Order: sequence, then structure tokens, then C-alpha cells
Amino acid sequence: MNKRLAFFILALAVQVAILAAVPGKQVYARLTGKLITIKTTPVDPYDFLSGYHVVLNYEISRLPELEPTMRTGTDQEIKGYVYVILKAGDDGIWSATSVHNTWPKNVPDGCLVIKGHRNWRGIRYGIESYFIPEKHREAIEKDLRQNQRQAKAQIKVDRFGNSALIRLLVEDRIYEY
Amino acid sequence: MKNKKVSAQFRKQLKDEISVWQAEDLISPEQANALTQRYQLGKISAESLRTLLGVIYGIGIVLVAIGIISFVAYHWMGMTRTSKVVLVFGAMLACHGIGIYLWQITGMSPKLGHALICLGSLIFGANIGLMAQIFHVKSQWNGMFLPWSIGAITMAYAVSSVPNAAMAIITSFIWFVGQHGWFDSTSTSWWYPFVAAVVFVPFAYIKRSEVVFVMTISCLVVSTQICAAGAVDFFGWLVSALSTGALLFCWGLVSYGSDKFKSFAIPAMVAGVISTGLAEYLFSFQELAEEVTGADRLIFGNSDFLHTNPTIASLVVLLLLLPFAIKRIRNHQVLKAITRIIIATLVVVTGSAFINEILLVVVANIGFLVMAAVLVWAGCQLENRRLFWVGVLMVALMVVSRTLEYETGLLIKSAAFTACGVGLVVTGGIFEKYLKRRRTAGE
Repeated sequence: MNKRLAFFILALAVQVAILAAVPGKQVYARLTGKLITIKTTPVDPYDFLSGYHVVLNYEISRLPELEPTMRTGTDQEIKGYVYVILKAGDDGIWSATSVHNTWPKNVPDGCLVIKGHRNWRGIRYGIESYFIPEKHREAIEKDLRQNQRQAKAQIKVDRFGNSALIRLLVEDRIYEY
Repeated sequence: MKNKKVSAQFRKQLKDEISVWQAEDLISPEQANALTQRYQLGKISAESLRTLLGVIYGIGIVLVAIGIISFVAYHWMGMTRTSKVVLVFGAMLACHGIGIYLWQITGMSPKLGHALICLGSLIFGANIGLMAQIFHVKSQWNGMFLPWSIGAITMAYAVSSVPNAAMAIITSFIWFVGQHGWFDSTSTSWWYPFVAAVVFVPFAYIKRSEVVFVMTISCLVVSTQICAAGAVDFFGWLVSALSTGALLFCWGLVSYGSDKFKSFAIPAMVAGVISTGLAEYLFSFQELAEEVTGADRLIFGNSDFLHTNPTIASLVVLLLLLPFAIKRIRNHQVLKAITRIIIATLVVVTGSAFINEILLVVVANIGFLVMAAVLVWAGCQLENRRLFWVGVLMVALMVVSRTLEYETGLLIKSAAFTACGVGLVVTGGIFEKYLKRRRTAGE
């Protein structure tokens, strides 16, 4: 094979690999993760490159035990990965029971660990955006605004703590794209 | 054509003139033929067509790319996730595939083929956003630009494509700016100037591309200065601007002595003078010089402040390049003088900033005026209007700035402005007379 062509194929492979790597963790979590439901509070910006999306805050994004550090801590103390143990409540909604700076050793039965990145605004899990079609934007926005307290998200969490956002639930209505 | 590179405009004019000269019997048909051969005047039409096609393809791919990005933003409804992914990869692979076929495999239409490969890399960038959209991944706004840059530069090296390299430099710089921001010491992107130098500089040299070289040095200088400013505020920026300025000037001198890379010399030297002059000008303002604090002086170079590393590296490279640069310009009085001024500015201004802010203001003012004087002198020596006028305007700028900075009476302000205006007109007149005299003497 021509040397130039070989280099071209190699470069193409790099581009394909990058594209495949972008959603790599989400695809793995979707394929192997456990489906759970968590409480959410949405807001709605517009992003030119990625179309419309709902920005979501979760109940597990701000944990009371982290608040003192958030207020007074230095960058080094605040920024970094955290591992949150989640447990299902009687209503089927999962909530945080404890937060750790390293992977927790003794995770109680029935609980699971979700990995997040802590910053000044709270914990981000990589599931804070849900892209929605332009056509349905107004209806979804209205529904989410009127029923903020009832909004929930279903996510899948894999064995490494990575998560993928699957769908939004507002009362009995399901938004999945 | 063995003579130095001549502009397309000159060749077109020459072609028209040759017909006139022949009609007036000023030159024989043999001489006309010799000139036509020497300047390859017969190829002008084909070259113009190629340039026009390049521009049309360039505009075309940009429009198509905008269309694709808008399509991505539309978030089409009727397709499954799998079909979207297939479409994403398919569009990119088709563009690249047809592009390489037309350009390098069959050689049927190199310009169109190259344009399609550039379009493929633009689609690749849009696809990063699309893949994120399909799987609901959202990072910081600038997150997609780093992988885009990696993909584009890999393709640039693989097919020797300057537009792909330019795309990579722009996207990587957008990523860096988004990651860093001014005066931010928490960012972890201090390594960016090093990686950018290692990745982009060799490409500019391999392709001998002036465009890539200019973009690369701009990106290196600005990112190095942003890093230093992030770590050590104004003092960091001052040291960084002076050291990168001196480095670029020496880089230009080294290129000046090289036959292959002579076209890199002027942009590097101009960038070096701008960086040095800008630092001197800004710190000639007392208010800004007072921002250089004692604490900043102490932490510069501290191992906890990794963001000063690019500046320290530029100082080290400067020391390594300087002997070669001096060797190259041994017989060039003007370049020698400007080099001395730039190196002296680096040493003296940085030194005075270490001592105290009042000294810094005085030295920055004097340094700026000395540089202006050297440029005026260089303009006269080389009979170069640009250098002369840049020097004169620098002097005027300094007078106006000082008049406005300090509380002076209206009479003094009026005198200063009038003196600047009259000075500009008079020196311009003297310079033009001087040029005329020298050129007449030369003839």
C-alpha cells in the first residue's frame, strides 16, 4: 500500500476513534449499568452547536455534608472526584447516604456508588444535560416549569460509578430522545 | 524561475507591458519570449484559475460546514440513535474517502479533493458535538475543541494539508482560552504552549508554510503570556511578553540567515518587536506599573507556579538561540542594533521591575523611546518607509499618552498635540527628501 494512503487511513482511524470515545463511558453505562431514578430540577439554555438541551440539577448534586468545605475550602480542597453512595427510598427514588473522596470499601447491600466531580457549584456527574428536539422544546419547557418538584431522571450507573442519562419523567409523562 | 519570488500582480503587469514594448519596438520578439519564459507568463491564466477554484472550494466547504452544524443543532426527530451514528460516521468517511480519491489516488481533481478532506475534518468537529448530543454528554463549552484539534492535526500531517493544520491551531487555541482565561491560576493547561510548539512548529517547517508559522508563533506567544499572567499577574505578563518577544526576534534572525526559511524571518521579527514594544508601552503607565507587587516578584519561577514554566522555557531557548542569531547577522548593522535593544530591554526592564515600580515606569518610557529611535534610524538606513513611520508614530504615541496620563493644563496639552502634529509633518517631509536624495545619488 502507498505510504501516503497508509498515513491517511491512520489519521482517519484517529478521527473515528475520537468520535467513538466521546460517548464511550455513556455507552458502557447504558449497556451494563443499573437503572435508577433520582430527583431533578431543570433549567433550559440554548447551545448553538448541540441544539436545545435541558440543564439538570439533581438532589444529589448538592449534599449538606459538603457545604462547609464549599463555602470556605481552597481550590485543592474543593475540586476533585467524589464517590457518592446511593440508596433507594420507599418511593423508589434513590438518594445519597454518604460521600467519599475515594471509592468506598464497604458498600452496603442494595446500595450503589456513583462517581462525580466536585467544584464550587456542587457535584457534576456528566448527566447534567438532556438534549431535546426543537419541535418539542416549548411543550417540554412548560411541563418542566409547571412541575419542577415532580421532575425525575432515570439514569444508568455502571460498576465503575459512571452514569448515563436515559430519560426524564414528569408525573406520568416520559421524555426520551 | 530562478530569481526571487515575484508577485502575481507584477507578472500580470509585466505580461501587459511586454505586448506594449513589442508594439513600440522597444524589445525584440526573442527578448519578449525570454521574459515570458523567465517569469512563466504563459502559466498565469492556469494559475489564476487554480487560485479561483481554491477560493470557491474554500467558501463552499465553509458554507457546507455551517449547514451541517445547523443540521446538528436541529436534532432530527425521525431517526433512531443507531441511524444517527451511522450518518455521522458515514458523512465524514465519505468526504475523506472521495477527497483522497480525487486528490492523491487518481489525481483527477487535487483542489476539490483537498477541499473535501478539509470538509471531512470540519464535519469531524461537528460530529463531536453530534455524538455528545446523541448520548447526552455535555462538558465545558470548549471541551470539543481539543479532540477536534487532535483529529485535524493528525489529518494535516497525514496528507500534508495546511488548512487542516490551521484548523487544528485555531481549535486548540479556542480550547486553551476556554480552559484558562485571563488571570486564572487554577487551570491545569500550562502545558499547552509546550505541546503546541512540539506539534505545530515541525509542521510549519516541513511544509515551509508561512501561514502555519505565523499562526503557531501567535498561538505560542499569547498562550505563554496568558499562562504567566494567570500565575503571577502583571509581573508575570511583563516578564513573559519581554522574553517571548526577544525569543521571537532571535528566531526571526536565525530564519533570516536560512535560504529555506527566510520567509519566516520577517513575521517572527515583527511579532518580537510588537511583544517587546507593547510590554514597554503598557508599563510606561504608572498605574499599571504599580500593579507589579513584591510578592509577585518572589513567586515567579516558584515550583508551585507551573504556569511560569512556558516563560522560563522561552528564556532558556532564547539563550540557546542567541549565539546562532548573532552569528547570522554579523554584517547587518540594523538588525544588530535592534537585537541589542530588544535584549537590553528584556534585561533592564525586568531588572527594574524587580527593584521598584517607579524605576520600572522610567525605564519603560526610555526603552520605548529608544526603540522608536532605532526604528526611525533603521528606516533611514534601509530606506524603508514602514520602519520609519512606525518609529515616528511610537514617539507621538508616547508624547500623547504621557500628556493624557498626567494631570496637565490645557495649554500644555494643546502644545503637546500641536508639537506631535507638526513633528509628524516635518519629519515626514525631511524623510521623503532624504529618500529622494539617496535614491538620486544611488542612480
